[in-house]
Amino acid sequence: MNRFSNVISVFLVLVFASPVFAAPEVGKPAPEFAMQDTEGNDVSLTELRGKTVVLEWFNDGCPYVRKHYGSNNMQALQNEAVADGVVWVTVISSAPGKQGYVTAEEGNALTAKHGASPTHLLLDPEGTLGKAYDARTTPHMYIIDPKGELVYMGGIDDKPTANPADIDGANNYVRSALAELKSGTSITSPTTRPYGCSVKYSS
Amino acid sequence: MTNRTSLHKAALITVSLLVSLCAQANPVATDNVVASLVSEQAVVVPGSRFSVALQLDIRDGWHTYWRNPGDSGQATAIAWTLPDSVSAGEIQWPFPERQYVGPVANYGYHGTAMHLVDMQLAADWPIGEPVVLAAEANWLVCEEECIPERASLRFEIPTGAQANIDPNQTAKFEQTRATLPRTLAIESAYQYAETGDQLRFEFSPAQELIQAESLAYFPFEWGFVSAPAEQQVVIDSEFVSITTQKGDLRFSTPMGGVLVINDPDGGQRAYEVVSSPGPLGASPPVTPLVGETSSLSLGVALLLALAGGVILNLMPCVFPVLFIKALSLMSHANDSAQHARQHGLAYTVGVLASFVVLGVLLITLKAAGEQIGWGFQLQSPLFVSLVALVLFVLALSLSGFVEIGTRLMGLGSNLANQAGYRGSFFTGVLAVVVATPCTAPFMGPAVGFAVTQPAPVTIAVLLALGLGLALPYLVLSWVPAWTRWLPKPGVWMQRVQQFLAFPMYATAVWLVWVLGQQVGINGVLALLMVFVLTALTIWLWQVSSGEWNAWRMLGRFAAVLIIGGIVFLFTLLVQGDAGQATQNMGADESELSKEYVVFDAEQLSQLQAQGTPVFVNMTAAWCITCLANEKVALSSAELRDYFTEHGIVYMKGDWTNQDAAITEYLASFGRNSVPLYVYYPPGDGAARVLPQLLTVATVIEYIERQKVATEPPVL
Repeated sequence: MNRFSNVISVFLVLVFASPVFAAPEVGKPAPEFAMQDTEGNDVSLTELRGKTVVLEWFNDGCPYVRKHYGSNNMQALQNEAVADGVVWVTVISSAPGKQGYVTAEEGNALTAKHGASPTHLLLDPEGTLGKAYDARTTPHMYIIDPKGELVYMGGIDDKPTANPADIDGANNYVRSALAELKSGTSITSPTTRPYGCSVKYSS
Repeated sequence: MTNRTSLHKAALITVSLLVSLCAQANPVATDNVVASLVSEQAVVVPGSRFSVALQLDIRDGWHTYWRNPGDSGQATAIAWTLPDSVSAGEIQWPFPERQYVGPVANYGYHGTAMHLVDMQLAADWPIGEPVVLAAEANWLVCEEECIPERASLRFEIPTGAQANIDPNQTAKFEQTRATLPRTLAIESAYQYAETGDQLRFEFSPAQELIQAESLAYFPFEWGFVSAPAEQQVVIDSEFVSITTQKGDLRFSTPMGGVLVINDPDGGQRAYEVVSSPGPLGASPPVTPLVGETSSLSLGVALLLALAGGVILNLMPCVFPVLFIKALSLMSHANDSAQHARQHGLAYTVGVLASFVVLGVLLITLKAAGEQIGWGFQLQSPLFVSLVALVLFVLALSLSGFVEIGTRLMGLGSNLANQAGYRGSFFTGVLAVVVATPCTAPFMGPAVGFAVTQPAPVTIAVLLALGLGLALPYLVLSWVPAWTRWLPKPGVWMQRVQQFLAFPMYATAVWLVWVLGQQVGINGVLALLMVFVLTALTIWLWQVSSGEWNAWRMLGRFAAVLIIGGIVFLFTLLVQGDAGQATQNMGADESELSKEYVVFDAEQLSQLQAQGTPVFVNMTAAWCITCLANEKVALSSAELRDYFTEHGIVYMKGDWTNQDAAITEYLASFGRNSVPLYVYYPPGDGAARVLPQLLTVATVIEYIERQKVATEPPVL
């Protein structure tokens, strides 16, 4: 009977245990956020309703991020997206003292140095935004549709290496998903494996 | 710091040891790792297999990654450059450890990471010429920050006529092998919670696991479980489960992974496990199905089994037996109530005893590792033949052709006679024997539940099933007042009895057809000859009964000779090889190949991975429900057209004969019997189990409904 009481108790846990925080899920409304970017502008997801939003987790010291910035791959994608009316939000969740942590000025300098063109650069040293989206790697990519629903989360492409030579011939999931979103067809790979360095949270 | 120095010392020693063997570039020291190729053998023999390893001595506090790196990171990779005569196997990964980096977790190694690879050297390699192994190794090494590193390594191993183990490497290779996951027949199922994001695993048989102090599960694939989430482990005397948080994806395919066991003495061992989606122990199936229970606790299983048993009484093969019992009850309505009750009890005991025998057989075979399920008896051609013969003789008896077997049937026997009770007992046995082909939809889940449970539960469920089967007659015999509701005895009884012979003949004919599927046309010929000879024997026996001695002796002698012939034909039947049947089926398939794909678990997972919708039909020639569904729904042109039009692959598994792969597939749905209908919607949609009774409309409607449910919202 012990066995059965165990089965029942585990089953109850299985059904009723609520997760620590609800992980974001494709097809569900994306977690809300409202904060100031490095230029002092207010950015809130509610305000961005009606536009497609891309979130990109960034850490300048991470070799995987460098793979995509050093090769100009990420900047090219940003340019295409922004030209298409997409709001591109780069997020830095590195905590003070950890790799990738920057002040607003340093952040803006990095953007200039890379020739990047995000619509907003958000600093998230407390990791609040990162944890709300369950961002685990740099880069970790999310796409939110004009209705505010999360339609993509995962990797930048399907070659999980730090080698810039692997960009050629890789399937860029974000580019494909944005094109599919625009044409109104369903997204082929709505959830993929994010790859890269771990996000340097404070804890 | 001491660790660090000893590590460097070790590296230096390695350098000096290898310096005589290798020219250059081994080991290579990067900023955070000393990488080297090492060989277990100092001298290798052409034609043999030998082990080498990429050894990474990792800087203190830093780590490298397992084949599935977890939330971030990258698995170490080796690209070999080898002579044509040498071939390298895959990396054999030691079990990993979980490393937490803030709220994320990785699977990897610290200290020394060994990547064992087996090499095969061709036999024609000239002895004395060293083998040069060159490799480009890539790895990511992280503390908090991550550095991708690489090394070009080159390593020479001398060859000789005799192998020579390198004593300096033996211990290291032995230790590494102890950390490789072993393969073991651990059955494991997993299931997602209907709500929330929980995922639970259950492992059985768990003898190897139950001594564990703690367990940790590492999946081979990303997205299956959340890497940092706590794994709640329950270890009981015969029960092990892990409850954790699911990863970003939901899978409906068997998933590979490694189970690491921490023993109470501090030791660690690991097993490779494959977990299949499916209901766990007493919890509900993956997707509750239309018209079927969503939860199967022991109590519910017992009730279902009881109801299933009662319904079995209405099956064409069982009903005549029951009817005859009821008749005998009526014809003895004037006898004492006590005798009637005793007959009822004897019948019930007969039924229950048969189920216990079946249950013990089932458990024994299962323990012996046989891949079996409900209806396994019918996978034996001999059993099918015997049941067909029994039904044939019973039918002859009902037709009035023979008087034998009347005692067995309990007809005409004296209630006061002990043989009468024995008759009732064997009627119960008979009812069970003839009931087995009629695996009613109700029995599937109950028996499926039963055999995945510990032995006492299996027996309990089977007993409930038996009690259900015996119940109508038991009630009638127990409450004699109710027999008054039955019509009065008369000539009509004889007519009904004769009429009931025909369902029995029909069942016998159907079993002959089943036999044909199993052993082919020669087996059918042998069995039909047995039928004829049996009838001849009975006739000879009867006509000679009234004759004078010499004729009687002659008649009986002939009968005995013929029985010998029957036994001979049966031995032919038993030898009837399954190969012939397979050939027969092959011929059928070429004709039907356009209609369905033969079930293949690997192909199924491939199709799923490609996002192709698949309809799986698990059937068997001896399963009446299956055949009905095929006739009514699955073989209809309308449904075939629908499948074609929607690109749905129709996959069919035939369980008429033993098939371990199908048994395993059924088990992954908590089933132990056919029919089973599963639909996989396009994309990574989970398996949906359909009801066990189908029409064209229900199938199409069901698939359409899944479509609506799985299609992403319009943007």
